[in-house]
Amino acid sequence: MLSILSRFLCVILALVVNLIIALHGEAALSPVGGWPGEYQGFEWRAQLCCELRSALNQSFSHSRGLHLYQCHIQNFTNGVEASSESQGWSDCLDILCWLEDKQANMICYIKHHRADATSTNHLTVSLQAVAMELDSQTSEMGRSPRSQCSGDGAITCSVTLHASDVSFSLVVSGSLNDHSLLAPDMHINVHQLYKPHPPVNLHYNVSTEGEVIFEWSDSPTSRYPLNYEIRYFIQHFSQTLEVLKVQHPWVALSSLSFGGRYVVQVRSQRLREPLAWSDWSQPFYLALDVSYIPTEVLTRPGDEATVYGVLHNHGWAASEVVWMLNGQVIPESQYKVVNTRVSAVTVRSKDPGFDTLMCCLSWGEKYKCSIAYAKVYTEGLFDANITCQSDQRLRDDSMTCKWNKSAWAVVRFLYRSYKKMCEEIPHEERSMAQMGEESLSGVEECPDGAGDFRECTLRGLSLFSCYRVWLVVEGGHGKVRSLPVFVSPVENVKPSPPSDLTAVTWPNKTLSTMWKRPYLPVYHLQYELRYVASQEVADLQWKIFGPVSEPWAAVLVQDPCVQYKVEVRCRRFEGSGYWSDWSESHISSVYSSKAPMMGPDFWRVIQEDNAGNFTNVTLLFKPIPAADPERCVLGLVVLHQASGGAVWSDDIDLGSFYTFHWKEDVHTITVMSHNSLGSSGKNSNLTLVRQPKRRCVRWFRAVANATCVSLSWALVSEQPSPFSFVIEWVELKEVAGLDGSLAGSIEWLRVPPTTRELQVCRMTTELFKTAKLTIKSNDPAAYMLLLIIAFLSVVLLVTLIVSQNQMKKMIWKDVPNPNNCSWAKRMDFRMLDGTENVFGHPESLTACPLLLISESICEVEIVEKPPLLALDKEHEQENLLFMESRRDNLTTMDGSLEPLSLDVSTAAATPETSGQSSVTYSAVLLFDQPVLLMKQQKSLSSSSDEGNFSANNSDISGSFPGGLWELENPSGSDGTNPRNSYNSVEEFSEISEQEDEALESKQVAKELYYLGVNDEEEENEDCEEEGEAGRSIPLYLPQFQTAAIKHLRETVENNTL
Amino acid sequence: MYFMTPTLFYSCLVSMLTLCHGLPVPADSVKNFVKMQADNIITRIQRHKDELQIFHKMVLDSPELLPELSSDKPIEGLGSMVDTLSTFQSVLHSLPKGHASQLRVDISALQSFLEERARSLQCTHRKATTEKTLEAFLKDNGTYHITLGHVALDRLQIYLQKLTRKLDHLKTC
Repeated sequence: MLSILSRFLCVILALVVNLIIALHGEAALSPVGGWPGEYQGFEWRAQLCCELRSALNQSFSHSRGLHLYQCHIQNFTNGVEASSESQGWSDCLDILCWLEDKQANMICYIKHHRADATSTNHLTVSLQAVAMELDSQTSEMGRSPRSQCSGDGAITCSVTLHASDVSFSLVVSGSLNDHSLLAPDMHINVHQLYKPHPPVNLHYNVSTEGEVIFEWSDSPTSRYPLNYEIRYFIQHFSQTLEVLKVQHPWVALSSLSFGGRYVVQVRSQRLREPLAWSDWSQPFYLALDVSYIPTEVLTRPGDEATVYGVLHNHGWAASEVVWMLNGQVIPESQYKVVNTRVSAVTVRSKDPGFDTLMCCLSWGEKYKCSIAYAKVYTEGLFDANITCQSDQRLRDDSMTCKWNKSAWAVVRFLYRSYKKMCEEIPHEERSMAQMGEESLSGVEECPDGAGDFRECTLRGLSLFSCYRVWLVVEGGHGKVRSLPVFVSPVENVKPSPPSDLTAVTWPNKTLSTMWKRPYLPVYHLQYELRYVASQEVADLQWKIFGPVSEPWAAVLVQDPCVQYKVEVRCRRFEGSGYWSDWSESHISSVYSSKAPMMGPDFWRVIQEDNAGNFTNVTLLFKPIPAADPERCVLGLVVLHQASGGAVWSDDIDLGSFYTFHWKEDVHTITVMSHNSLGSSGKNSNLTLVRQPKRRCVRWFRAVANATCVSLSWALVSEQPSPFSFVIEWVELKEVAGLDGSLAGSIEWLRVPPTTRELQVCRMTTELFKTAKLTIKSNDPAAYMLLLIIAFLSVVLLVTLIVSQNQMKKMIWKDVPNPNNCSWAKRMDFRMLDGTENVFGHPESLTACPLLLISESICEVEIVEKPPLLALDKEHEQENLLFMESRRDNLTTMDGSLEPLSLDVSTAAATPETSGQSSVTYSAVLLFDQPVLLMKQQKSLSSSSDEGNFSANNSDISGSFPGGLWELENPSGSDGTNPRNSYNSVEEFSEISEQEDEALESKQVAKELYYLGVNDEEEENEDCEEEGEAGRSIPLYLPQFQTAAIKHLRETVENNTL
Repeated sequence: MYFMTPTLFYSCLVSMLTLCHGLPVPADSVKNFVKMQADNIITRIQRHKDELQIFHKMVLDSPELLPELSSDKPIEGLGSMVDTLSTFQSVLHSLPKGHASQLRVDISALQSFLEERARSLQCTHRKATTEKTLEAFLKDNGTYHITLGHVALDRLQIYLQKLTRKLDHLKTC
């Protein structure tokens, strides 16, 4: 009992030991790969059957007696099937071996087949792994330590695998029934316990005939011949299309046609002992579209290269394909149709580099191509035009190199540094570098890799070393590369821009500028300065000055009172290098020693808000004439004084306009100029009063021809004399993008009070210099115009002399059919009581009170039809408007009469008509008679020979732009349409140091009156031609001031109270 | 007793800060941020296409090509967005180093933002995997990086344009 227990413990101990060994072996062998297949529970079974024989003829050292058991392997098998029964043998040992724990251990179990309680058996099993491929030198090394296990009746023994390619030696010894046992060595091949690994490296080749050859490789651990099975199906459709069996690792797939992506798989099986199939291989996704043979071509300049394109898509025909070289169509003459599915193209590369070939199909205006393309590498050196620019602006010095390359090519940027100057590099070394024969030691690659970019930045380099840089085309086996460039970073520095700019515009027309150079680079720098007047923001016309070698410059400028925007850049003084970027802009300061003398002359445009809540007033400034450079004007101050005592001011830049809301009844604006030393003392005032206006112009005429508009007018009374007239008109310009649409901008002009005639002209500068009169004399239309005007003037005089009754008859005679005439439509002639109703209130002809400030507008619409089409377009851009006063010298008006631009389009009309104008005469209001506010009536006059004049009592402000458009479309306007009336009082004050002067200025302040004349086309005798009004130029003329400031003050005060 | 007051105060302060930190980002802000990122990528792709004027005569794309990378993938929520961007990203990563490098960074940033957003909404985490078929395709066609990159970026541009019109899906997983 004790011995049984001890044996049991021994067996258990042996098992534990073996288990530990096995575990140890597994851990040790886990890195060993390449097992011959997959373990799937296969077993090796054998039966060792023995019979008792005489031992005389046996040299058996272990025999104890004369007889011994001689054993033979009776049955062995692989697989899971049970072995067959022993056939007639008395004593047999069943042997079962298998792999355990993922091929780490080989375990054998031996049991006496007929073991019973009476048998006395003692068996010893010896297991040893032996490498299958041994040579003479390693034969001993290929054997693992022997594992011996002993027991009675049943023994389990295991040994650890040390390699994948091994066999096992199994030796059974011991005794059966007290007789020694003699058994042969048994060898178990481990491959018999595995199933093969699936094939690998699946791929396909395409022949130039278009045949698809699918190929694969056996698993590297495979040692035996295999046969194969191939199956394929369309992706997303798991139904297998076909299964092929072959005994070679390739197959021709001839029945594939494009229709998606195919999935192909292969499996293998041992050819001689076909136990089990391997698993299916990893799926191979076969997307057959267009294949190129070869896929890559390495050629030389001048050599021909032929590429075949195999069309797997059965919908494509080889005769219809188009070959493209780098995306450009190749001439068809270079194609060759091999068969219905194969096309070939032959190209000859001229220069080294990289090209692509694509076989495409016409697709409308484009070409349908697959993403595959053939790559053509042409050996040699190509010019990549590599340029480098070094930079010291960052913490580390850096150098950025840029190059040109084909968009199709992927290149690597390589460089090598030398610890010497580029000039010192021997010629031989340069030549070797160009030939690509130098060693690759010390060669580095752009850290950013071979990307789709065309630049690389090297950081942390030495500015004083020499660098060789070049490109290598990826995939060209190093044989396609660019010409190397030797670069010295210090010769290619782009410095930082200068800093700390200061600039002053001096009265002597000098713009002096100073700046600070960058710290690095250390060498001497040169500088370039650019400047532009700071107002010219929209269209910067920089002027360049330099280069200069010192960090300062003095530049002569035209205007000493202008602030200039200044920028500076720098580069190496002598030697190569790059210009820096322009520095940050700096606005020069203007030096002045005194405050400005005068404020700007200005006028106003009044625009009513649609809701009627407030009124927008836009001040239009005349440029301040260049006067004393010691008194430069840097800006304007608009001082507001509203009724109620509110006073405030706005600082504005020098500009052409300024807009504010007018809410109060009386609002006075004073505009002052200022600079760093103070504001101007002599300024213009404008008082806006919501009061009726009155007219004081007796008549107003305007005649236009091709280039000029002649204006003339007369006042009701010359006493008191106005301070000045203001002429305001709208410039019409065609709006870009809007077909024929016109947009207007208001222009104005101040005219001396003594002026009664004015000519406003547009001409090129050259013509103006030649002679304005010359143009008129050469223009037959102008002659005709003068004759007509003279005739009309005579008729007008006659008409004025004729009595009202006579005039009434004449008017009624000329009244056309009311249904066809715009102005007549508005009139109810049956209700009229004499011409007074037509021409307005008769009292207006004699009344022009000083107490009531009335504003009347003279409105003249000028229809110009000059032959302007022959004008030079360039000269049209330079057209100027200029004025001519026949009686007065306009230049005496404090510089307020400068040339103004006028768009040519406003004068452009049909060339067949002469420069006729439509003139409507104003109702004339006398100064010394009060006039009540009257609603506007359209003029009923026509410029007929009878010389009618209108009794226009309009109270509209001439500065009311909305009225302009209505005037252009008289048929659509209501003659009784009431308009807001505004009144402006303009003063010139002396807010000077001396109070006396200020008081005096109040005494001489003038009063403004506005005269209104409504328009009717003079030449529009037939009222049906009113459509011509669309090309007219409406004018508001003239406005003037009187010296009756005292009455004005009183009136304003009364009204505001 | 007095020492309790500052303790209480600081604990309250910490609680408030924690609460503030955990406050959800306004939905409009998230939408705007995602839209801005998507527009940035769209514009960068457009610039890339404009600079690479080699495909103006060609039609490279077809429905049979790369179905895994379809620009018509439905936008169902954050999960699908992240998955689709991940697929595009794997294609871009198959290109040589340096190709579309900034775009990779931009897409990665957008992807991370959407993932973080999904986490904040307690969405189930989905492990991004590249389809075997896509891997195989890239293995076989990765050498045609110019055309492959063009197709991928073209589809990504279309997908992001669609995404910017469906930003309401940022609220769902």
